[in-house]
Amino acid sequence: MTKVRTVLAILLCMSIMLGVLGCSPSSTNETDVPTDAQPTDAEVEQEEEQATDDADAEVESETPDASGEYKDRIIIGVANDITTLDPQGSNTDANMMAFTLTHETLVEVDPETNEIIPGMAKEWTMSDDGLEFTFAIPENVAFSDGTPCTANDIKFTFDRAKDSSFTKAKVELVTEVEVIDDTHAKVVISKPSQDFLMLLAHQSMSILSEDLVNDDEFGYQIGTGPYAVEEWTPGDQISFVKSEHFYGEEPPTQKIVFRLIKEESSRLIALQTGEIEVCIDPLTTDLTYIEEDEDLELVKIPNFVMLYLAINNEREGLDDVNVRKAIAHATDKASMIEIGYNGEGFVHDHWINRDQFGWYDDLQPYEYDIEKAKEALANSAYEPGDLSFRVIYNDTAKENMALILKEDLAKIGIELELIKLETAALKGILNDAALDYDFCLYQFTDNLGTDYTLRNQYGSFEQDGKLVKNGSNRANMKDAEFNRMIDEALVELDVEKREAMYNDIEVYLNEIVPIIPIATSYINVGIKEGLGGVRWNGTAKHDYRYVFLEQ
Amino acid sequence: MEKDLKKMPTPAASSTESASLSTTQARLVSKTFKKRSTWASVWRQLRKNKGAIAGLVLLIIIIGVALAAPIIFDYNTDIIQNNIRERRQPPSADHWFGTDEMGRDIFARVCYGARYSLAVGVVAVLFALVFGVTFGAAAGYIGGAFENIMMRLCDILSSIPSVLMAIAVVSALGKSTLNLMIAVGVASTAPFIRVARAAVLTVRNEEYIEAARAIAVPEWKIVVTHILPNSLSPIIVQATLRVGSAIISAAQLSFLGLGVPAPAPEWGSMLSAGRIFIRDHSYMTLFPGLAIMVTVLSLNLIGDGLRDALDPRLKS
Amino acid sequence: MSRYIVERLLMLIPVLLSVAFIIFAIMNAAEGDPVYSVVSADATQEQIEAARIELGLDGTLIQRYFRYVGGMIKGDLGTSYVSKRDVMQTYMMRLPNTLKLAAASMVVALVISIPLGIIAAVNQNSIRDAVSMVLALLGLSMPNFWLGLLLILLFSLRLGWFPSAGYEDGLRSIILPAITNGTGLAAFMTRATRSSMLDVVRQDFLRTARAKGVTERKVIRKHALRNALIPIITVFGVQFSNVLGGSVLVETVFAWPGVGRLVVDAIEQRDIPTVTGALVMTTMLVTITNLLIDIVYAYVDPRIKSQYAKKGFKLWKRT
Repeated sequence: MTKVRTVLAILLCMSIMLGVLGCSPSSTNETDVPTDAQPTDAEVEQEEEQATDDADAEVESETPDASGEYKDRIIIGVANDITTLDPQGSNTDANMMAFTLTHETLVEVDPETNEIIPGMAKEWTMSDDGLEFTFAIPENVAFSDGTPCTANDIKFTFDRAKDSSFTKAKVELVTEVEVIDDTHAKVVISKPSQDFLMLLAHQSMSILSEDLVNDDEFGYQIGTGPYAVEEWTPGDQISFVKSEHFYGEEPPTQKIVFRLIKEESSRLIALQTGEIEVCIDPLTTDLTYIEEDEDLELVKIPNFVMLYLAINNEREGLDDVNVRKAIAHATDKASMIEIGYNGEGFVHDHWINRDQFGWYDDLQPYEYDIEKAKEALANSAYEPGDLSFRVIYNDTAKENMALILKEDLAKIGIELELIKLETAALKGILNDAALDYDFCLYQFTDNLGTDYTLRNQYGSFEQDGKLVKNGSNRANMKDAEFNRMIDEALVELDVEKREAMYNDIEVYLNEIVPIIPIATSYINVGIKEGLGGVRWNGTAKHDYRYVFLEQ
Repeated sequence: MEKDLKKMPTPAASSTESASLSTTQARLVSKTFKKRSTWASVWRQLRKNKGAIAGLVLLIIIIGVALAAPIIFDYNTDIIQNNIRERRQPPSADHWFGTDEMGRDIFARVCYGARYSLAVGVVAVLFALVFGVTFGAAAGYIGGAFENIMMRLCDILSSIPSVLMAIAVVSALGKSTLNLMIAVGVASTAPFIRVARAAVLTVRNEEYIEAARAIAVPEWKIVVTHILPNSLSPIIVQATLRVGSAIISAAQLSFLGLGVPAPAPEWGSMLSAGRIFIRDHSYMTLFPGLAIMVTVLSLNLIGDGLRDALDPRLKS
Repeated sequence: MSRYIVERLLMLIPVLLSVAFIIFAIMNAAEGDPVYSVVSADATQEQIEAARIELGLDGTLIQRYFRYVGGMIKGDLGTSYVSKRDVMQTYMMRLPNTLKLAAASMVVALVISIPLGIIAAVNQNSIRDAVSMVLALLGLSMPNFWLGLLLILLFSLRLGWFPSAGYEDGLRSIILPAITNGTGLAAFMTRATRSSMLDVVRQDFLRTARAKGVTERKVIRKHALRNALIPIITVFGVQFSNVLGGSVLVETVFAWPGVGRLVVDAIEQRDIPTVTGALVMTTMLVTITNLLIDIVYAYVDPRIKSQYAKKGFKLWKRT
């Protein structure tokens, strides 16, 4: 009797254990079910097709046949989570990278020359007054589920973009989108803009299908790009497979996976052990491992990520330009680069992003000089010891940079308290109408033209007789004169005059010191030897459409 | 009642962290605790336990380091001042434990860090102890619906994973040393409620309590002067062990970036800062980790020793 | 017995409602309006209000809570603020990973703790006892993420035996995370094994067995180990909640996409539905596991079973 009970007990224990182990494989399969709550019939069909493709692909990858000179599946280790598959639902670079695979924009920007090149629209015309753009798209453009794409979808996308707070700044000038026929659409803007096409090249302006978006909660994730989303496990990975319906050149790789590995060192180790083929942003201190490894290659791309200290210009103390100048002189940018980027970066003293149109070479920078900082503070209404501020930021590298600033500010008698926040909390504070912050170590990434940068970073608009800052104007700067200057520069057609105007704006901002620009750096990517076809991009939105890895 | 308690099952949901503890307690508290003489005998027992003595010695050294740190090191120049030129240096005669990514001496920071870790551990446990014992004792003494509600609350608290609970609390309150203490404290309150209640239950019907009641001693006075002192030993054991796990919890939160704000030299945040350099500069993670381990080990050794010493069964 | 099970299951309802409320309250206690972490900086007042309604952030905390509970009863745990995906579905995607890790950790813990516990008990108060217990305590005293880092340093970087991250490599992937997680659990289990073995060793039937001339080894194997099962099951129950949620650090260190990391990421993003939903689900799993363990208990120990049978079960008289 006792024996029976013992056996029973052991069996029960084991069954709990086994149950736990045993249930896992079956549940894992469940992740293959489309993540959409209610997939349409078409999607279900497609999922099934993909599932079989997938099975084939895996078999092939183990035993590459003679025809397969390229690897079937490429895994890219990324640092940031994809948070949404709606192109108009966010503005983070991590998300945008996915849309280069699955969607298309009307035009694109060549990452090397910075010129506008064809996207979905193979040709376009601009009216003489610069107010009307007519785009022509090929007849056979289709979304990855087979739905044809027409000019009507362009209109839909623009209309939807106006309603989304993430994209409305990009279509602010658009007054009307006219559908001429299935393959032609005319976009009318309110005033000529030299940078308008650049804005349309941003991934958030990817063309969406009116029918799919209206019919399905997640219809926005289907685009006309060469790949389609196969499976998305938020917080883990997302996989893409070749679209059956892509009208352009067929990509060489069957399947692309973005795998989230947050730990930098783990990500690099994964590359070294062959678990992934591309490692985005390895630690700068670990780059030698890539250089020393024969199977790996290091790609370095100068980036357009500008790190800066946002100053809330309306805070007491910080509204005094001499205080801001004192802080600018007390900012040891070189040491910050040393700490934050392991010395690999460029000191940034300008008010626009690196290599942007209008960059003024003769700008007088605020060099790191504690004596000058003390002088500037002496010119202000405040005494050393009067002022104390708080700086917010969201990661360790920025924390270390803030520590350097804290020490230098202490030398001139300004106290600095460090507050590390979660990314969401940080965004919450920055976006909250209360604007409850003094400083924020922050960065912006953009290469959408000088006007967009200036307008977003420092611009404001009039509402009910008062100036209201633009959303991403973290300096909380409201300056009517500055607004007038950028408005004039935007519509100037003469290139030289326009450049001179932007030079003047740089000088103007240099006197106000609304923020402290700190640095730009490199984007480092570790790749497997033999990997090619990627168009690397200084805004971190690399284009993997034609990535391949030679076997 | 007492008989019942011994025989009743100890359903997993309501037992304390360590299974043996709960069974021990049941027996332990069933014997009335005799005050002074017992403490002497506990010490005698404890002295025989080599592990506990080793733990005690270690702990005294660590407390000594924590107390001496501000005398030996200047917080502003030795602990938090950056020295970029000397960053990431391996251990040497100048820097016994090497320097971190900001060029600060890791040895000085580890020594100073003992203050933070011990403070967080002790305050968090005090927090849990005060709340837990108050509610637990009240539950045990009052009984009825109040007791029922308290015990359900306990079940709820202990079925939410404590780390996640603490993370949620810190993220709600904001990052600061005090909030870290509260978060860790909240997450370790449930066991104290249980232990205190169980202890009170076993003594509340003893004759001397009845006697006190008979001579109309106020209820609260009975609890404070008679019941609690006689239920003390399981609470002490629990508290000692809890300080160790509170230190680990605090380090975990710091590791996730939710702990003591920079540039304070807390061990968990030092670990967190050093982990990205683990390939080439493993000393950055090795020493703070060892410090946590030694501290918690010493507390656990003492806790185990105390438990054995307070366990009447083991007295030969 | 079945009445007891039904009662315990009924108790789940208030427990889950309270958990939802506690988490709801904590997540809403944070400074600032959660809607601002979701919308863009350029959002107009109308867009902010629209987002507030879409996310269900309108109304008072109590109203929001009851709306949430209304959904919860229908099995709807809400939609993530960030990914806009169903929380239940996301949770279910992560759960298998966490359960796998939990099971593997338990196996590691058993492999370590049973021999150590037996050695310690059989050689009570000897040097072997001391060494075993210190070893067990060492596991408990190490921050597990630190142990994880050291294991990666040795076994992934220096020796290259196991992958350092991910879960794609099957058994090889799970070994390091399981060891990391298992050593902490082993300490509790070793303690449990030792003390229950000590109880058993002193009992009369063992003395009788010895007196009958059965060898020590046989006695231990036959009688003692069986009795050691009970505390081990208990520890399993008590630690299960911590294995489910507490392995978050191990999950972070080894990039293991489990439930713990889901919650931490969601807390970071202030994704209230995901945090609440995932913790409610975890609580439910923990409670049900504990119930199962109580049932197993009853089978292992006939005394307990008879108690249930005789008296029924009084919820508030548990110790």
